[in-house]
Amino acid sequence: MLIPYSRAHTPKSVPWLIRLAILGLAALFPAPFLWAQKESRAAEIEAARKEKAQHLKPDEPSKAERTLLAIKEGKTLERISAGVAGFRLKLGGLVQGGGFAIGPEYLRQDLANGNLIFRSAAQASIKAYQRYDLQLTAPHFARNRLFFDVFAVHHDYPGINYYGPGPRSQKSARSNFRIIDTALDGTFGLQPVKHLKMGASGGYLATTLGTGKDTRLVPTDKVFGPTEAIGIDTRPDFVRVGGFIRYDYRDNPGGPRSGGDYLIQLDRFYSRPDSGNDFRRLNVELQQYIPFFNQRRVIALHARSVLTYPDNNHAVPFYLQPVLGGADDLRGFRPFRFYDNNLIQVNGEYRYEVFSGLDMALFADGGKVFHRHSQWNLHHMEAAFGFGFRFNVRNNVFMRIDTGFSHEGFQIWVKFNNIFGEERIRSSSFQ
Amino acid sequence: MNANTRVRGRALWGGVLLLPLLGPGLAAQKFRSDDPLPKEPPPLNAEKVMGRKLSDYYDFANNTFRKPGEHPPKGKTIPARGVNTLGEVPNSAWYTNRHFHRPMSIEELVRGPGNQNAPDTSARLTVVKAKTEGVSPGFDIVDSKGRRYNVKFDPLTNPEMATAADVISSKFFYALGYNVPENYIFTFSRDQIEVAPNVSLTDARGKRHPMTERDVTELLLNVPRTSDGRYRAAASFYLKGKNVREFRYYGTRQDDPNDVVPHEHRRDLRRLRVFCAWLGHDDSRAINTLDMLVEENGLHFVRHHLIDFGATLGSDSNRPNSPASGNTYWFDGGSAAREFFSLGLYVPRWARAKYPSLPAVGRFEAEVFDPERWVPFYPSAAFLNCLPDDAYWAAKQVMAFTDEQIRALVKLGQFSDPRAEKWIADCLIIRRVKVGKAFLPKVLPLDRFAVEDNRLAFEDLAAKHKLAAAREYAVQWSRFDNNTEQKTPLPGETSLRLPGQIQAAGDSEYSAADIRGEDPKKTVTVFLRKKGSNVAVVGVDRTW
Repeated sequence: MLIPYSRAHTPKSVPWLIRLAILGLAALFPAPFLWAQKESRAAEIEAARKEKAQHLKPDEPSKAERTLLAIKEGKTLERISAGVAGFRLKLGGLVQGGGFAIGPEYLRQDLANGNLIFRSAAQASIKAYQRYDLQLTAPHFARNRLFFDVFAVHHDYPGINYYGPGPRSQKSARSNFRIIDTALDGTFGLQPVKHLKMGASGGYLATTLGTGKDTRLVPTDKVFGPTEAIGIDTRPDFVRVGGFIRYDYRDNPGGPRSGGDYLIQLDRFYSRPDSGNDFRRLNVELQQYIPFFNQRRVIALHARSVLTYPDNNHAVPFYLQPVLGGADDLRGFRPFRFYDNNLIQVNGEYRYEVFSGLDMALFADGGKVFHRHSQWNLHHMEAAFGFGFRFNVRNNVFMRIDTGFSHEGFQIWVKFNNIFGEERIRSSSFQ
Repeated sequence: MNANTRVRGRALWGGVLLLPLLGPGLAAQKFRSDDPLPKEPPPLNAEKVMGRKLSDYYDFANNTFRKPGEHPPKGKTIPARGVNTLGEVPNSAWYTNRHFHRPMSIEELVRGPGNQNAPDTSARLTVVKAKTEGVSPGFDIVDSKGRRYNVKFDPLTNPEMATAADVISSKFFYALGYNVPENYIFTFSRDQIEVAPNVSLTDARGKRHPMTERDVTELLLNVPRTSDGRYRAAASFYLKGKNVREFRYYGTRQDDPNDVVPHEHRRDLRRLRVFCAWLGHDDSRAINTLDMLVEENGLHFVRHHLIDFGATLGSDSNRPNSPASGNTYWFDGGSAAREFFSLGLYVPRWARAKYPSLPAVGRFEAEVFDPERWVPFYPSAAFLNCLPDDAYWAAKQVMAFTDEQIRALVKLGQFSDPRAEKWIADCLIIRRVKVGKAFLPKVLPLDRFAVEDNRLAFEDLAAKHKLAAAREYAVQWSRFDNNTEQKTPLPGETSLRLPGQIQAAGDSEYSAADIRGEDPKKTVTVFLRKKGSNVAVVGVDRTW
């Protein structure tokens, strides 16, 4: 039996009656009391060590610990993410309402000594939505001064919602159409100073429209004619040219808590063959993050306006019009709820940290689509309110669950991206 | 129920239930011939100790969602072990009494575990291993003299922050008694670095490939440069011996015969909580410890180290520390519930802390700092068991650092901005006082007991450090029976002068002085032993 050497100094007080009883027992039954106290403290410690030395065994972690260690040491998660020989699984990322998508992706980040990234993916969803893309990009060329990106994508989305044009479209007028488009975009830019990027972008877009596959809904072409769903009959190709300037000083784009991101993009779309659908499109997007209480609380503000300027006697086809509704703008409305030539959208979120891995958000969304530029104001906006959970790892949001309420009901969104993500400078409306 | 009642209650129930086993304890003498033990006896040969790696994920989950190790039932306490009869920690493979017990000079403090092995930057430095652990970038190098180092860098956003913290804190922890590596700040140019053949690198995607010069260049692209274009790094000199990996803050190593005290009960680990609070070391977990199998005098034994102090003093190694760090665990159910249900209207005090706009400082402050509420990144079994007397012993060591000594150690961070140096030193000085105010009064803060000129002498640490005015204490002398632990009061002997009966006592006879202050729960009992003509202090018991 061992008595740790350290216990000798601790205060103790055994009642004298018990001591007396034990002494009596010791006199009557001496055997259990033959243990002898070591003469010295050092001897006591040595005895404890010798006792333990007789029962040594490898200090092996438990099975659970070994498993976790193997996962980390083997970089299992990283390997799954990286894939085999450049191939890996790509999950999600299709258009809203497309359902859960999965497919192979080929990724090479080691080309040209790591300066060039090549990526290509093919995905299909449980609702038979398909997307194929290919990308070649150099995000940090010439010591971060230049960047370029070439992106080709083909979509086959069999059931995009359309409710008719304008802010007064009826929820009950929900129809669906199929869109098959192929786009090739190129972007080249420079970063003259930190945070500031500017560049030119161009693309070619070929679109085919078809009858929506969602049999619960009426096909768009059965209820909306070319005067309402402009371009539903002509479906020209488009050439896009444009430019952009962006100032992004967010502290952490994966989960910003301070800073801002401002983008102005101007594009011109030429229909080919000329079908009376030429127009210019101005996209202005502002994000601002106002932290307080040491960034444990953040007010996130987002404003966006898209204005189109059709040429004389031209019109913007409905599938290239600005759209509102869904997980990224009006979260209390269905996806693609409102279409028109212009939109204005404002979002405000109050975020607070529950613990390091979870932030809560209370949000309010407002927005409207409108036909004439004179209607550019904050009147008669649709509104949505709600709350959300933001799960993050090392300050980067990897999943959010938002519940939005509006006069049209409520919507629950599970997204694996950050709200107010980067606006893509590309041709297709349905990324 | 006060502490004394708790102790008595425990003994009573223990006595009733474990009657047959109490005999040896009853027969045991409170003090042995070699008490108080200044150092542990030489270790047993432990050459069969094998290296094994622990999972930091498991350690996190196990400590966050379970409660490993032995913990007292609610309302009870388990006194610290691994201490001598004075309540001090004997020198051992874990701990060496240093600054408090024999004040170190500034030169000694600055030297720390050593200062003669800085990397030789006059010649080439060879990368021999890529860093695979931790969050900050780095690698292992060998200098022209064949010395090996683990090298880490600062994040781009916070030059000097992590490297300074690594060096400064290593000196403090050394002075506080722990085994730590020699850490150095040094600078080098890119052309001094070369990669040895056959060095492999596992990239972020888990792919292993030969490490190339380009890998070094890419790593250095994410490292801040000094004004003269060089790279500043912290080099940790490789420890002597065979690496047998981390120790846990609970249990013992099953393959080490000398590891007989459960770690959650070791006073040197329990009170580490206070030191970590002072220095903002919330990353004090198993992954930042290291056991080395060393050989001395023909004996192999395990020496236990604390390593990696890059996440101290407001740094989180690769970024500034979170303001929540040190104030709440990564996950704390109660705190999370408060935040969740209050919709964020409940604002913790720490969220209002103010930090300087000094990149080299990270998030380190003293105003909101509350040493009693301080917690590490996730629960630690040893820290959870820290009792008032454990914290007191730590606090008196923290209070042993003077302002001048603190400033001298902070200077080792080699900050280019003097405001950063001043801020950290000022914070440490204020935090030191907070530690003293918080933990010294937890017990009767009397210390350094000795018999001088036939009087019992001691220091009132609260008065010494100006945390309280000089006070009077009630003293009651007793004879003490070392076999029965019975005290027989000596009537009228209530001064600090040794009673005549004690002075005239026979050899190896014991006496005791019960000292009380204003709070009757807080007492100190000082035990003395006559040996020859000398009377010496042999033990100290405290209640609170």
